Amino acid sequence: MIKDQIEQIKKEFESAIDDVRDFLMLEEIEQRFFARKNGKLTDVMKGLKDLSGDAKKEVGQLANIVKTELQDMLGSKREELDKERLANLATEEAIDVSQQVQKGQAAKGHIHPITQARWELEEIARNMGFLIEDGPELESDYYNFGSLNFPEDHPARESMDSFYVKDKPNQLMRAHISNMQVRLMRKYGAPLRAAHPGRVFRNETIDATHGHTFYQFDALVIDKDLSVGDLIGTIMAMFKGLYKKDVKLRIRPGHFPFVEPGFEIDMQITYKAGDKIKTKWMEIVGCGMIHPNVLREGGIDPEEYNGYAFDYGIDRIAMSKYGIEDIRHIHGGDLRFLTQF
Amino acid sequence: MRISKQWIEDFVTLPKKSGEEMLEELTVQTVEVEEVVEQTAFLDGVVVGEILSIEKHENAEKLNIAQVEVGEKSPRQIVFGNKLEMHVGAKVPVALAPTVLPGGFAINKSKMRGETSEGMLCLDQELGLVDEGLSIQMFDAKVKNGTKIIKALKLDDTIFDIDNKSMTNRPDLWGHYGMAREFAAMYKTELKAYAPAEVVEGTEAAVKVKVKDQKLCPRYMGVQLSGITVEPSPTWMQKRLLAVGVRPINNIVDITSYVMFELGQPMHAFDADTIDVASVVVRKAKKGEKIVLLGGEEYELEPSMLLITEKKRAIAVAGVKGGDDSGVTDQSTSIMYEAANFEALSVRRTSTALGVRTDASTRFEKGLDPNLPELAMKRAVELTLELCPNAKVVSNLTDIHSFEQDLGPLEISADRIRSRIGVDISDKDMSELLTRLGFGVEQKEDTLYVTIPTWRATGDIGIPEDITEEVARSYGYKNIPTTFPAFPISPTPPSPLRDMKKRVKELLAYEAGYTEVYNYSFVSPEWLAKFGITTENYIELAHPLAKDRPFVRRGLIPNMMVNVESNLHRFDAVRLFETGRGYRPEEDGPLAHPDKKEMLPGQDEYLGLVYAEKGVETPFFELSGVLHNVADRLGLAITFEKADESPEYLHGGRHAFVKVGDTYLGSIAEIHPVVQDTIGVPHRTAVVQLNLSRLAPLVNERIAYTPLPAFPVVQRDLAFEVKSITADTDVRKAIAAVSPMITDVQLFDVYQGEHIADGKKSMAYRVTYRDDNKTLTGEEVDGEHAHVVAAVEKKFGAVVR
Repeated sequence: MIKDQIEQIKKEFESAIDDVRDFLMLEEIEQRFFARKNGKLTDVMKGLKDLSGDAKKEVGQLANIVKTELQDMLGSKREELDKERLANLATEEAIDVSQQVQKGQAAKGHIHPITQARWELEEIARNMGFLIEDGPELESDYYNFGSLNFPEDHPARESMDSFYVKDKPNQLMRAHISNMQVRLMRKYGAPLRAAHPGRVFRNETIDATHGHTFYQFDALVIDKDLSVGDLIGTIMAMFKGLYKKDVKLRIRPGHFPFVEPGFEIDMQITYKAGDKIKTKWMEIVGCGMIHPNVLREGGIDPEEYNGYAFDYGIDRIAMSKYGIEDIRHIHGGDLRFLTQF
Repeated sequence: MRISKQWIEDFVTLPKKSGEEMLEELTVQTVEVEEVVEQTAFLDGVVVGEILSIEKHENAEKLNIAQVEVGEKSPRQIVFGNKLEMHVGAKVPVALAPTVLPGGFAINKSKMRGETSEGMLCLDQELGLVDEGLSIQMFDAKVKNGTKIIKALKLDDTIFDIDNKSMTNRPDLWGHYGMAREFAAMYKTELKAYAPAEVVEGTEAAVKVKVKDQKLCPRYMGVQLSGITVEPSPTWMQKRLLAVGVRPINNIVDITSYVMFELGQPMHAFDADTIDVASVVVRKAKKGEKIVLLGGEEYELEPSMLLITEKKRAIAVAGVKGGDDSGVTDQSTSIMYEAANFEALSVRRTSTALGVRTDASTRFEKGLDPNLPELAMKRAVELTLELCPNAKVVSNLTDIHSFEQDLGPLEISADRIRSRIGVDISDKDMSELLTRLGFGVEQKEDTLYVTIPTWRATGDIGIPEDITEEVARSYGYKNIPTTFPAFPISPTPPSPLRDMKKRVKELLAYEAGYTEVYNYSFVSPEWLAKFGITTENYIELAHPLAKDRPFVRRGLIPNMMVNVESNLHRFDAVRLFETGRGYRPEEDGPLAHPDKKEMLPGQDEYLGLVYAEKGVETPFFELSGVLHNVADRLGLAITFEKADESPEYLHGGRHAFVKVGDTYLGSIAEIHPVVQDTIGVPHRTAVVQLNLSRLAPLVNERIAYTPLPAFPVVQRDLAFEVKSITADTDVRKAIAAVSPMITDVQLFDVYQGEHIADGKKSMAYRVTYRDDNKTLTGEEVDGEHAHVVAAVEKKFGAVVR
């Protein structure tokens, strides 16, 4: 009797499992036959304990075989369904990957383009063994001019080009970053490789192409028996680092009181004029062999050591690199500008 | 300055090279040539035209209509303006539409207020002939209508435009002869000697000059000529002057200009009938003395200014400009030429003070060779006798001089020159290069004895390095092999402030989401006033051109609040940071001079942070979080201490001092709501300002690793009500102090409002317990936790919930 019942259950299970289409139906079948309470097969197996002797043994064996069989069927059906589900995953769980994040995204910060250009130069200089140090922006006329071989009556010293401090005729907002030269020489002595980037000031009215606040990057090398060839080599190497390729440079005479000889270096740039590609020279570096008077002010004997110094305009580099058309953006504090970098 | 190629060719034979090639070569060897222009380049479409009639334009007050005969079948109608008065019969340059003028200015047939215009009457300035002023060429009646002006004016020269800034140290290059010397050296060709005829003195008149200040006037030469007919100068001279951008005036004035552009030595011509040539005195001005200069404007002089005077009256400001009532006119028949040398600084200061800059003052202020007046005077007399056949020198040639030049010789080792340049150039080549530039060279063994030519002994050449430069540039910078200095391999010395700043900026931008801003170092007093800040502790600038910000900032916040205000018009949230100097006169900065005790004002580096966002009522907490995270990254344990005193512009209840240990670094606060309102910021704004110079030495980037715990932690939560002034730091400190088993205390909720009495708040903490040596039992933790409860009850009057 129980044997028939078992066979009956088996048949019922087999037909039910054939109809299974999803996990919900599978779950239902599992419950219907194997639930601890009121499961069809469970109930039958519970009835076994009322049998005795051989019958108990025989039916028991059969029941166990059928149970294993049915559970296997259940297992393979589950596997089958799983496979089906994974096959359709890409369609069923698809999301709009292009969708813009609506809310709760973290704020994104930006570093000022001048800082970025400056870091780039600093990294190159540091890799070439230069120490990097800035100093006072509000400077004495001694370090800004006197120590740099500007004679007392040099036009730059008395004109209105600089921001002098009221009632302190010997203090001014430094007019160039070379104010650091004698400071660094006195601090570190010779030999020396130092770069000093920073903010400088000219007393000008502001418009799209003129500012009163600029950024310069100055570097100096002091050692024994340095030559003009070494100066050119050093600058070329820096440019190679900055532009990641060889650049065409033109060296021509330039006059600055603190170097002798002095040079200006132009870089060849290409630009589009209509549909033609043209080239022109852009003045990019002022440089020269350090004047012996400047070395003396720095406490360095010009008979024993000599040196060279060169100066880049950081804003010029950044503006040409990014195509910034109006110098006022640099200090404009406008997030629409700043967040582009 | 414009340089005429033909003028140069008076003195050297130039090689057959294009203007562009010469531009390049002169630029890399001597001075920067900005451009080279063929005079014919843009003037092909400009002809001589005769004005047949002039009518007023009916619809435009400032326009006129002319019928102009330009050698075509019928006259052209041309509309022109009122810049210069025109008359019927005048022959002037006419640009025939369509054509393009210098500077790329296109002339096309067009309608101007309804009237057709088929060209343009051209001013000298529009044709690029003269740089300044308003002037027009008037052609002689003999010139045929329709003649191209290139032909009429013989415009077939090549012009080099030199950047004046590139030759401020080379007074010898401010004339064609000096420039010719450079060309000759560059192309290794011969320079013709400059040898004008000697002046044959006359006896009919006596020019007597007294120089009262020979330091300011090292040389003064004067001579009188009579029998002068003032008339237009000949075409060849006009052409030269036009080539260098100067408008011809009359033969005598043109001769003084011509000599100046040839030699670089300014000259002046007085009408000898208007002055007493026998009583010329060069002296400083008297207080209150006045002079009317050429052009008719009156100037009040200062006692420092040097004048040329006769009897009691000033007739010129030395080296700047001549007087109006002693200048040459069309009626002059007798003139006195002046060729002099004046001290550079005095001319510069006088010219600046009077606001009068002339071609003469520009040259004198560079410091001229005192030998030049002699050459210039001879040349001017020679030209005058050539141009005015009836002219005659009637006086002596006065020459008052007192000057000394240091012509060296400079001693320099040839080896040193080679090593300084980095090229192996022979002694012979070196001395040849120098000789071509006019230097005298003698050599004994390795030492060169170099004599400086007078025209370079003007402050330009004075030390051996100057000789190195002359050799190097003549040798050619592009011929110098690129080398590298030999350096020992050693680590780069550290730059702690720079490295810390870089790290802070990266953390703020890329971790906290703040954007870096640059503000000026200057601040406006009106803006500060809105913050209740007075300027008494601010450094003031002497003569700022940008008048709106005459003070130097002490800190970063006020200018950053401008950024907050302007950006909140476009953005809901503003998160900014800036690093920069604050200038504080009461603090000691770096030494002003190595041998003196004077200190510059304090100028430490500061970090500023601002944050405001729509709907955020307590922005303080975000900035506090940012600050803690950055400090964490830098290995710094920062603490906030409730501020006991706040400036007017900060919110007294939301302001803490930021410290590391005992070092005060700055403040974190919110802007006072009243100030926020005054400056037009719609949302609460939190600000931070820290002194980075003080922070730098404290940075400790070593991360202290702790081994992972071997035994589990147990956490217990604790919520209670306390007075709302209770500080979280105090509570955490008190809880942590209860037991060594407590490894962490975190505040996870603060609540004020419904169900909580006024003046109270509810705080909830999670306390973490752990023992390094064993697993804690529930009982052990309960025991400790009971102490925690007791502690907060006792210490803060907490009512545990």
